[in-house]
Order: sequence, then structure tokens, then C-alpha cells
Amino acid sequence: MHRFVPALLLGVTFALPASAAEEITFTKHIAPILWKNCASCHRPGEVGPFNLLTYKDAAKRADFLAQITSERRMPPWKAEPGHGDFEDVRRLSDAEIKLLAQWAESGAKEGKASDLPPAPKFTEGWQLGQPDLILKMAEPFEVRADGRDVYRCFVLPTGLTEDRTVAAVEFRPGNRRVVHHALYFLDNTGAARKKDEADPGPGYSSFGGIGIVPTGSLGGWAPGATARRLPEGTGRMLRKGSDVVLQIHYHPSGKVEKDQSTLGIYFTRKPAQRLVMGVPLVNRRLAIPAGEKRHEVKATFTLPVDVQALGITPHMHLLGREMKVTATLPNGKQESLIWIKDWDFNWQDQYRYRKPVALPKGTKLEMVAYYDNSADNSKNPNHPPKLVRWGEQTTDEMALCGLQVITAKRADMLELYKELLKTQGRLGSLLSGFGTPSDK
Amino acid sequence: MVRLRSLCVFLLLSGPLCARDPLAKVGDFSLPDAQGKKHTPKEWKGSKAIVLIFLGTECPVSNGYAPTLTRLAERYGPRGVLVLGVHPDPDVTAEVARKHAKEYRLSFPTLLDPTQTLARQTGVRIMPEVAVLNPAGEMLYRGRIDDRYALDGKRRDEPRTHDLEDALTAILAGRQPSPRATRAFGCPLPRPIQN
Repeated sequence: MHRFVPALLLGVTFALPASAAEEITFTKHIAPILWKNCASCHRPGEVGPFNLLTYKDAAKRADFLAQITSERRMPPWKAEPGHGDFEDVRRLSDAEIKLLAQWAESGAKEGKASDLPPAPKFTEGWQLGQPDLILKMAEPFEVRADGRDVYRCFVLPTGLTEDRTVAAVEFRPGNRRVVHHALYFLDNTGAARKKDEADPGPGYSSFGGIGIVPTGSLGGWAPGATARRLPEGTGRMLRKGSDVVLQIHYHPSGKVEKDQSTLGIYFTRKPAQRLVMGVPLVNRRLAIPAGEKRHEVKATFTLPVDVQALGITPHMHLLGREMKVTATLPNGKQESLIWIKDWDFNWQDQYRYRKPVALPKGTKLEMVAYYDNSADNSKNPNHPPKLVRWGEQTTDEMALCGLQVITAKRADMLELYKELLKTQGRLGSLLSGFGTPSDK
Repeated sequence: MVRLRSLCVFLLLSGPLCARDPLAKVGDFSLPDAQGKKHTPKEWKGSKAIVLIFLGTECPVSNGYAPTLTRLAERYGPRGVLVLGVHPDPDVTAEVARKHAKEYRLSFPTLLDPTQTLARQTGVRIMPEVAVLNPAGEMLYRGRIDDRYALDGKRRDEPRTHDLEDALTAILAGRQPSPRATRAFGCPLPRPIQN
């Protein structure tokens, strides 16, 4: 009782989400928060290391939950609110975080069974139903018990004899204890196959990218991401004869593990009229001086045609600390497309807008990225720090943000492709994901 | 008890290290290991140092240290260091601990401490965290194994400091470890279920 006195003396009033007299309980307050935000990963067979479904699951970790949510380390979500309206936002409100703290503080009580909302329902297996094409790693890959993270690329031939358009891709990790995230690139040049042949064991190792310039992309997966179909009539180009290059980031778990992951590909019902293209904002001339705490790198691109942005994918390596992408529309209006204030290579996500963002012709896209190349950066791979330039290795950096867009007309797509080729060279056009026509 | 813990959580969050008695001493206890064998401080006699490693079977940070811990036990065991794992989780039964030790190839005994008596006596709050004692139960070092994880959870590819190993080297050379305490990153100890 006397615990409340100091607050009264200070005359402080708190805006409590629950009335001050009401006891915070699992069944009434906590279960809905955990089930909505945590249980999709923290349930049996999923990527979370423990379950967060029952009272017992939560009560023994009440202090942990209060701490990790207040630091916003969990749920993992790096995009700042108010900078892009995204799908699958895994971000707790301040009120929810406060409830978790109050619950831990007040003894993590269970509460009345009648307060418990209906249990969440989860679909087992493929979330989007049976895929049209299933690509599975040819053999299991062994992940060592200890040491550095592993970045491995697996070449999965599609065997397609005609061009197809893809509506969705669903990734099923083979071993959720070690699979941290996955990216799916395309290659129809055979370059990835050569790298695979040159490297003993399944696949080949490559950190920042896939070691070759991809001819397209089908997206990616991070824990908590939900597979979704693109809007009707929209697809990603998958050229005939292409290989999917599946890059998986593995975390050693403390014991030797095996993984054999699977991709499910869903084609559009009819060939898509609108193709998703990547507009890369990229600065390959970056040179980050040793010891520099906040080194700025910029890149811009002016849209030659009207586009609608469907998603955005920031990419930096270990020195990257912050990235912001702003669109300045022809009428002068500015729109923030994304702001990652606390970049973490381990939680790079493919952010998808809830509604496509209209960006008219003449819109100037600007990326600003900041890098910490000081010894204070615990992720700095160089000890002592040294000058860092563009490259694919852990010790190199990148300043790259891909914007996934669609155009209203097919002719506009070519226009955009030509502009990327002109301003950013072969890399820009290849990163566009428009793909090199295989019959060129 | 609950209030003190919460206060500490608050202090940890607000920055400064929550004050813990650096000279905590482990008194008497009797705990079974995963194989059912009883352990008491009497068996410490004759060892140069005792390492208690607090483990979390469901904590990825703790599990990730398994190969490091086994290496350390194999290296320092023959030099008179007794390494003991501790499970401060009421849900970890002998069977769970046996399965976990086999899966992660732990080469040292793991004690079942469902009431967290060793955690209380050592002041350990994190899994994994270590307490290094002399045979009289006096604390020589408490904290992290190495600095692979920063306190914000960011993981380095390679640790730059090897705090536990440095402490053991100092003790075996007859010196006092320095520092005597560090902050560990990992999963906070679970709460014992009340009802």
C-alpha cells in the first residue's frame, strides 16, 4: 500500500490503459497482446525458441517480457511509425508495453478463465494453399555448432520452359532453430550454377549478396513475415530456364544442425499485365573513413514515369546504423517512405505497403544512410576500424534500398528500365528485376 | 522479494548496474544433477576454482554458448577447475536436463535448482551467467563468459574479451580476477510459479 504514497506526494497522475483499481491479469490483458503479436512465431514448430500461448508460458517469463518489450527488442520491427504504412507491423503500442510491465510488477496473476478470449487459430503447412511449383534444397545443409553466422546460397532450378509471372512466394524453413532469414534471387545466366559447382558441399557461401549480379528477385522471408499474393493482375517476372538462388542466413545454435528449406511458388492465374520492378537507390562510391561515427551516404533517382510503390527493402551491412528514404513529389510535397533509425543487419525486412503509394513522374527519391565506423560500434567487423568501401563481404558495406514498383502502362516499364540503365548502368537495370529476356 | 526484483529490473533498465553484493558467498546446499547424483559444497574441497554456469534450456543465447562451455570445461577441468551447470528453471526436470545435455554435448554435470537457491546465493540473474567460487564458496568472479553479445543484444562474430577464461587464468596463477564482475547478456531467470 505504502508504495503508492510517493506517486501521490509528487502529484503524478498516470494515464493507465486499465483503471487504476483493476488488476492486470493474463486472461484479460496479457493473452490478447501475446496471441496477436507473439504467438505466430512463439508456438510449437515455429521459429520462436519458446512458446507464448499459455499462462504458464508467460508467467515464468513475466520479467523478461516486460524488459524485452520495453527495450523494443521484441517483437522485431525496425521501421519507425509514421514513416510508411506497412503490412504485418509487429510493433507493440506504448500502452501494451506498459501493461506487460504492470503485470510483471503486480505478480503476474492469471485472472478469471472467463476473461480469456478465443484461442488464436493458425493454419498448418502452406499458408496460401498448395503451391504451383515447389522448390526444395536438393540435399540438407549442415550448419556448424559454433562460430560466425553462415550465409549460404542454394541454386534451385525452376525447369520452366516458358516465362511465368509470380503472384506470391512462400518460404518454409527446414530447421527453424538456425534459419534466420532468406532472400530469393533469380539468375538465368548460369553464373550461380558455376559458383555452386566451384564450392564443395551444398550451395556456396556469400555474405552481402549472392556473389553474382542477379537477374531478378522474388522477395524474401524473415521471422514473422506472412506470405501474401500481389494485387490481381500484378506479378513478378520469372523467365524461363531461370534458377532461384535462395540465400539463407543461418545462426549457429550451439549444436550441429541440418536444414533443408523449401520455397512454394504461386503463379498468377493469368499472365500478369503489370510486372513488379525494383527501383534501386544505390551509391557504390561510398568510402567510410575509419573511426567516423556518423558518416552520411546519399543516393537519388528521379522517376521518369508514374509508379505505385508496393514495398521497400533497405540494405546495409554491419556498419549501417540508419536509413531514411524520402520522396519529393513534383508538387513539392514530401513523403517519408521508410525510416530505420536503428539498423540491424539481422532484422533486414522486406517492408510492404498496406496500400500502394502513388509516386508521379518527376518524383525525386532520396536515400540517406548513416554508418558508424568507430570502435564503439559493437558490430564493427574491423578491429581496429579501417576505411570501408562497397563490396559483398562482411567487412565491406553497401548503401542500397530497393523500391518495388508497378507502372500503369507497359510502355512506362520500358521507359523506367531505360532510365535505370542510363543512370545506374547494368547493375541498376539488372536490379530492376525486370529480368533479361532469355530470348534476347 | 518480488518487489526487490522489480526494483532491480527498473534499475537495470534505467542504466546503472543494479547493486549486487560482489562478495556474495555460497553457503550450504544439496542439489541433484540430471543423473540423480547429489552435489554439495563438500565436493569442492581440493579444487582450485568452481565455475557455476547458469543455463537456460530454451534460451538461444545460452544454448549458443554450449560449444564454448564444453571447450572451457575440457581445458580447465584437468587443471583443477570444477565446472557445474545449473538449471534455475522449475520446469527443467532431470529428463529435460539429460536430453538437453546430450543434444548440446555438455561435458559437465548440470544441477537442478528449481527453487533458485544458487541463483539467490550468487546473485546471478541471467542465463547464461557464471559465478566462479573458491572451495570456501567465496565469489571470485561473476558475470559474462565473453563479450560476444553487447548489452543491447547485438552479437559480434567473434568475442573480443574472454572474461571467464581470463578470470580462471588469473585464479590459477594465484591472482585476483580483474574485473571481478561484469554484466551478462541473455535471458533473465524465470520466475518460480507461485500457485
